[in-house]
Amino acid sequence: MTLTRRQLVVAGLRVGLFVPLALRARAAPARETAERVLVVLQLTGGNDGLNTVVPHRQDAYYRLRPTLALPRSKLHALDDEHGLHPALGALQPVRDAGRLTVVHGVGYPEPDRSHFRSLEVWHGADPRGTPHTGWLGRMADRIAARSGGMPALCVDDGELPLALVGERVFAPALPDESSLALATLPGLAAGRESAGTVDHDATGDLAFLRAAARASYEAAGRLEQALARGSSADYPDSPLARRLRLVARLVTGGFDTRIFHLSLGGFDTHAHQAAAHAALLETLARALAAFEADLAASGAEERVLTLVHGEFGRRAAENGSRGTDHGAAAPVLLLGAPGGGGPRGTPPDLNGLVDGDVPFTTDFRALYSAIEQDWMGLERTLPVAPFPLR
Amino acid sequence: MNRALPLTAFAVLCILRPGLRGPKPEPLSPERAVATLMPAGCRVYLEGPGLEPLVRGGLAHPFLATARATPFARALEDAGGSLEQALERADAWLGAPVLPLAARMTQRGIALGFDPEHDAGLLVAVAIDASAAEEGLATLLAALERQHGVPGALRGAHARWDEAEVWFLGEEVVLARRGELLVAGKRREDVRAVLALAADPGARGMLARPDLQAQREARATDAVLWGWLALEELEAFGDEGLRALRRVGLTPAGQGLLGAELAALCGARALALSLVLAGDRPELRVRALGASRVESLAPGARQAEQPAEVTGEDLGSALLYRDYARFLAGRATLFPAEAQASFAETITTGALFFAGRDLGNEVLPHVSPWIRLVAREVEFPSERRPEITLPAVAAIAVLDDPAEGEAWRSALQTLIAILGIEQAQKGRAGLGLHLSSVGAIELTSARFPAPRPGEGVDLRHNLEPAMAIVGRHLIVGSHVGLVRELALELEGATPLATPAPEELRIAPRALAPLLSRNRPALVAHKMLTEGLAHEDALREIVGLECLLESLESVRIEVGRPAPDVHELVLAPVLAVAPR
Amino acid sequence: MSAVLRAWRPGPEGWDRSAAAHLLRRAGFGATPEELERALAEGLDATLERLFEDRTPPELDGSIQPLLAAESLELLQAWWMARIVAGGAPLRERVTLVWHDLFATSHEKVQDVRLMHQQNELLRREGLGDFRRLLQGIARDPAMLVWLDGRSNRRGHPNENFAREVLELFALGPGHYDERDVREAARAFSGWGTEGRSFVHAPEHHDDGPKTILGHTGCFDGAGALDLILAHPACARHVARVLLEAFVVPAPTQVEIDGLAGTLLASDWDVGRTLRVLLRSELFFAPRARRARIAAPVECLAVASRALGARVPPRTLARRAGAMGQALFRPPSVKGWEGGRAWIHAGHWIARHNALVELAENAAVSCTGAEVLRDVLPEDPAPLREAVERLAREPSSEPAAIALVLTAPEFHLF
Repeated sequence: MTLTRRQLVVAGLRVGLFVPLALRARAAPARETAERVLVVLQLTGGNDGLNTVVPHRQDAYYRLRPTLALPRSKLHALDDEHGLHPALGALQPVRDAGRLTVVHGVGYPEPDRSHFRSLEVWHGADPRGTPHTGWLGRMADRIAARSGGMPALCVDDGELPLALVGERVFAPALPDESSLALATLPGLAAGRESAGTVDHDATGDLAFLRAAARASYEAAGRLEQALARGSSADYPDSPLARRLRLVARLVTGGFDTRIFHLSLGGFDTHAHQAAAHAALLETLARALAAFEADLAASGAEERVLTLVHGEFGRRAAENGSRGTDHGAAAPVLLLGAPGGGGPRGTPPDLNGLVDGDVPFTTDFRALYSAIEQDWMGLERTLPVAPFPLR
Repeated sequence: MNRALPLTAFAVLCILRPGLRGPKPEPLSPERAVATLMPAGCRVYLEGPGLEPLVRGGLAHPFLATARATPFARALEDAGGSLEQALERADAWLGAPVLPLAARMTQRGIALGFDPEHDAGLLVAVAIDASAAEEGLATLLAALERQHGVPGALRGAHARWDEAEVWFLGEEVVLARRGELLVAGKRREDVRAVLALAADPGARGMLARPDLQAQREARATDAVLWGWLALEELEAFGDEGLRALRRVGLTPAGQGLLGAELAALCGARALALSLVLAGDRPELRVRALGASRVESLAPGARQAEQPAEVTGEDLGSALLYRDYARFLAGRATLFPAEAQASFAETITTGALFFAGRDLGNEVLPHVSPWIRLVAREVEFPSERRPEITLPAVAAIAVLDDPAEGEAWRSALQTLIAILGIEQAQKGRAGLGLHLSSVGAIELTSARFPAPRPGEGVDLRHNLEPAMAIVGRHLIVGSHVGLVRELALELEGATPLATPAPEELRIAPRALAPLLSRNRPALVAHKMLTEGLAHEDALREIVGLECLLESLESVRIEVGRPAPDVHELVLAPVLAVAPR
Repeated sequence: MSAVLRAWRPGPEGWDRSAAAHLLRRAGFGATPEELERALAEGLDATLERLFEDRTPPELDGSIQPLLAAESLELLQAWWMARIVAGGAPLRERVTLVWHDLFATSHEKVQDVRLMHQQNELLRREGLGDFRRLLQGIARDPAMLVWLDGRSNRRGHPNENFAREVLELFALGPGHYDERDVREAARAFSGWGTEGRSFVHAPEHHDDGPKTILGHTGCFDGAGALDLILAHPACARHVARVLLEAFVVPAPTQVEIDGLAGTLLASDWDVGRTLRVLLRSELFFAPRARRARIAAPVECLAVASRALGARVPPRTLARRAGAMGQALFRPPSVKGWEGGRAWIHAGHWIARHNALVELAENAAVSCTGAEVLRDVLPEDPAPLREAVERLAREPSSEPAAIALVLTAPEFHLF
C-alpha cells in the first residue's frame, strides 16, 4: 500500500501527531488487527493451577493433595483428563461459545519463587535481565509510533505495573470512570475553538503541541461519549467486574486504547486455601462471564482477547496448613483467542515433578509472541517462537 | 447587606401604596404546639422549647457564664470585643434591647424548618400575644429601614394574605404576621402553608408524622432545643458523604466497623435530637428511629465479660462491643458472594499467625466481644524519643482461658518476624523482638533499632508494639510503655460481669500539651499542605490548642434505653481557664 | 571568550517584556506581575543580579526540619515546590532542579526521605559553585550511594552501577570511555559506603591495587577517579551541554558547547560565573533560543502560579506535577526525565490542562486574562488575544479567559 504525502499528513492530523511523521511512515497495519484489543488480567499472588485446571485422572493429584483435592464429580469437564474448578461454572457460556482456551503448563526456565522477581519476569519478558520496560509498554510504544492515541491504560489504582512501562508511552491509570475527566469552565471550550481556527503556520514543537492538545481533547471527548452511552449489561458487584465493565464500555464506545491491564489479588493461599480459592475463582468467573456477555451483546467480542495469568503456580503438594506454597508453571486462560477454544499445550505430568514443582511445558514468551505478532499485528520482538493460537 | 438594591426598589414601590390593614384573626389556642404550624414536608426541623430562660437570662445564664470563661471564648472576646459590647451594638442597631424583645416575640414557641429539596428555610415564632408580635416586628422593620436608608418603606405591609400582613424583603425573604404568629421564609408557598395551618385549629403540621409526634411527646421536659432529621428522605438531596454514611450504616461491614448501635444510627429512618442543659453542662441526645441492626452482633447478644476498668489518666478511652467471631462465622449469610473472597483471605492470613487455627471458629470465640481501648501519652527513652510524638493506643479484651494468651503471643512474634524479613529484603532494619517483664507479667514487644546519635528519630519510633497477658486480660498496644502501665493497673483485677453500655471518652484538654509540643511540625504541615503563610498557620494551630483547652472532657455513650430505641448521648464538659 | 557568548547589548528597545519574561522564565520560575514590571524598569544587569539572590523566607526554609521525622515524601516534594513558587532564590532553585535531573536519584529505591532531603540540600548548596565539588559531593552522597549501589561496591565484589553512570550520564557521555574504564573506576570507588545516614570510607572494603582509568595508571581511590574524569576534555563539554540544554536550546551546536566549556574552564569550574556569562549572552537572547523548549511540569505550574498569584497549596502543586509526569524526587530512571516532547501525551496533556484550569480558578481576584496573556505570552499571538478579549466581554468569565491563556499550546513553549 502506498500513501501519498498528502494522505499521510491528513492521517497524521486526524489521529494525533505524537511522534515525528517519519516514524509513522511505515505501512499501516491491516484494519482488522489495528482494531484488536488485548486485556491482561493478572491473578496476583500466584494462582493454584492444579486446582484451577484439575488433572483428575492422575492418581498423584489425589496423593499430593490429601485435603485440597477436588472430587472429579464436582468438576466442569474440560476434556477426558481435566476439569475446571467447581467455582468456574459461570464460564460455561464462554466455553460453549468456543471462546475459552486453556494453555497448560505455562512458565519459564529456572523459575523464581519470589513474588516480586517472578512478576518482574512476566512483566518484562526478560527472565535473565533486570528489565526497565514491560512487554505491554513496549507494544504501546510501537502502537503510539504508528497511530498515536492512548494505546495502553492501567485499569487499576496503585503503582503502574512494570508490564505497562514503555520507553516513550506512559500508560495513564484509569481506576474508575472519572479519572480522565476534563476540567472545564464556561466559555473555555468555545474560546479554544475560536483561538484555534486560525492557521498559525506553526511548525516544530508548536505544531506538535497543537496536535497533541487537539488529540487529547478528542480523546477526553470520546471517553465521555463512550461512557455517556451507558451500559445496560448486567455485572456482578465486585471491583473487578466494575473495571471490566469500564473496559467493555471503552472498547464498544470506540475508544482507541488497545491494551488494558487489570489485576485481581489474593491468590497467595498458604493456608486454609479451599474456601478462599473457591471464592476468588467465583469472583473471577462471574466477572469474566459478564464481560464476555457484554462484548457479545455489542458485537465486539471478535476484537477482544483476554489473557489471564499469575506470577507462578503453586507447589504440587499441599503444605501442612491446608494451603499451598509458591510453585512454578500454571495454566493460562485466554478468552477470545482464535482457534475455537479448548485445552492447548502439554498438560503437566505429576509423576515428573521437578523439585516438587510442575515444570513448564510452554514458555510464557511464546504466548506473548503470538499475541504480539498474530493478534496485535506487530513485529515480533521476543526470542521465542509464537505459540500456535489456531 | 448586599441585597440593598432590590430591597430599595421594593421599598420605593411600597411607599406609593397605603399600608394594608385587615380584620384581626382568631388568636391561636394556647394549647397549640409550634410544631403543628410547620408544614409536614419539612425534612429538617428544630424547635426551642426551652430557649426562653436562656434568652431571658441573657449573659447571666450559668451555661453562658461558664462558656465565656473558657480559654477559647476569652481569646475570641479579647480579639473581637466582649459579648456585652456585641449586645450593646445589637441593641443600638435595633433601637431597643434585643433580648427582652426576642423573648416576647418567641415566648410561645419558635421553630426552624429546612427543606433541602428547595434549599429553603422557614422560621415560625409565636409571640406572647398579637400586640407583642406587632410591636416587635415594627421595631425590627424600622431598624431595617434605617440600615438600608429607606425610611418609611416598610411601615405598611406589602400585601395581605387572608388574615396576615406580608412583607417582601428583597428576593430572599417573605415575612408574615398573623396575630401573634410570625413567619419568615424563602418561598411564598411555604409561608402560605404556615398561615393555612394557623387558620385551621385542627391542623397537625409536623405532628402529622406519627413517629415524630411520639418522639416529641417522649422528649426530656428540660430540653432547650429539640430537632428532627428525616434521614431517609434527606438521602436523595444529601451529598456523597451522607450517602456513604447511610450505606455504612446499612451494611454488615459498616456494622462491624462502627458497631451495631452506631451503625443503627447512621442507617436510621429518622433521628430525634434533644439538647438538655443541666446548669452549665450541655448534653445532646440522639435517638434513632426505624433502625435495623444485626441482632447477633449487637451488644449483649453473646454473654461475655467486660475488661476491668483501668485507673490511669487517659487521653481517650472507649468501651466497645465488636463480636468479630460471630462476624466471621456469619459471613456467608451477612455478606454477598463478592465479599467472601476478602474474608477468605483474612482467614487464610489469620491461620498463618495462629498455627493453622481458623480465626472465626477457633481463635476469636475465646476472646470477649467487649474491648476496652485506651489512649495515653507514654514516656520514651531519650535515644528513641520521636521528634513528633503520638499518643499510644492499646486494646484490652478478656480471654475465656488464660492459655489462649500464648496463641496471641506467638501470633505477634510471627508477625514481627515476617515484617522483619520483608524489611531485611529491602536492606533496612526492621522491628526487633524484645522480651521483658514487670513483676510476674511477661511483656512481648518489638521495636526499631535506635537511630544513630544526631540522625533524628522518625515517626516510626512511636510504634513499639507490645502485648501482655494479665490473668485473663489480653492487652495489645502500639507502645510497650502503655502496655506495661496497663498491665500493672490490671494486675489482680477481675473482668466485669455486669455490662456497662458502649461509650467513648476523650479528654481534649489533656491533648492540648501534645499539640503544643508538636507545634512546629503542625505549623509547617499547614504551610505546605494548605499554602498558609507562617503567621496564619501558627494562629490556626494556637487556636486549635486553645479550643482543646476549653473542653475538659467529652463523653459519648451509645445504648438502647428501650427495646426499640437506639440512643447516642454526647456530653461535653467545658473547661474554665483560671483568670 | 568565545564569540557565541558575546554579551548582549539590548539597548532600550531590545530589553522589552518578552526579553525580560524570557530571562525570568529560564533562569528562575517566571515572575509575579510586580517582579516583571521591576525587571523592565531596572534593566538586564540588575535583573540578572536579582536572580542570583538568596532570600527564601527562613520560616519556609526551616519548615521541612520538624517534618522530616514524618518520613513523608509528599511533604518533601511540597517543601521544594513551595521554595520554587516563593521565588526567593530563583536561579539557585533552578540549578537545583537541573542537577536533580542530571544526578537523577529516586526515592522509589532510596526509601529514605531524610537522605533525599540531604541530597537536595547538597545540590542547592553546591549548585552554583565549583562543579568539581558538586561531583565529588554527589559521589559521596548517601542517597546516591544507595541509589546506585555504591554501598555494596566492595573489594572483590565490585558493583559497577555508579562508575558506569558517572562516566555515561553524569560527567563524560558515551564514546569517551570503554568497559575497562567502568570496571577500573568501580574498583576505585570501592569502600565508599554509608553508615546510618552518613557517608563513610571503609578502607577494609577499598581495592587499593593499581588501576588504569581513562589512560592513567595508579592506585586511585574514588576522589582520584573523579579527578581523572574531571580532567578529561569531554567533561567540561558534557557539563556545558547540560547547561545549554537546560537554559538555552534543546539541541546546542558543537561550537556553542565548546564555547561554554571554555567559559566553564576559564572560570575554574564555577557554575555561577559561567551562568552569569551565559544568561546575558547574545546566544541566550537569540530568536533561536526563545520559546524553544517544551515546559516541564514543575516549571509550567510554577510560572503559571506566580503569574496569577494563585492560591493553590504547595502540596497540591507537587501532586499535580506528579500527575503531569514530573514527581519531584521520583525521576523515572537514572537518566532523569526524558523531557521535550515526552512530557506531552494524551493522559499528561489532560492532567496539565486540569491543573492549569484549577490554577485559573484560584487566581488572585485582581488578575485578568488580558494581563496574564501580556505577562506570560508577551509575543502576543493575535488569535489568542482576540479569543481572550471576546471571552472577557462575557460576565464572570475571567477564570475561563485565564485558563484559555494557560492551556494555549503557545504557553507551553518556554
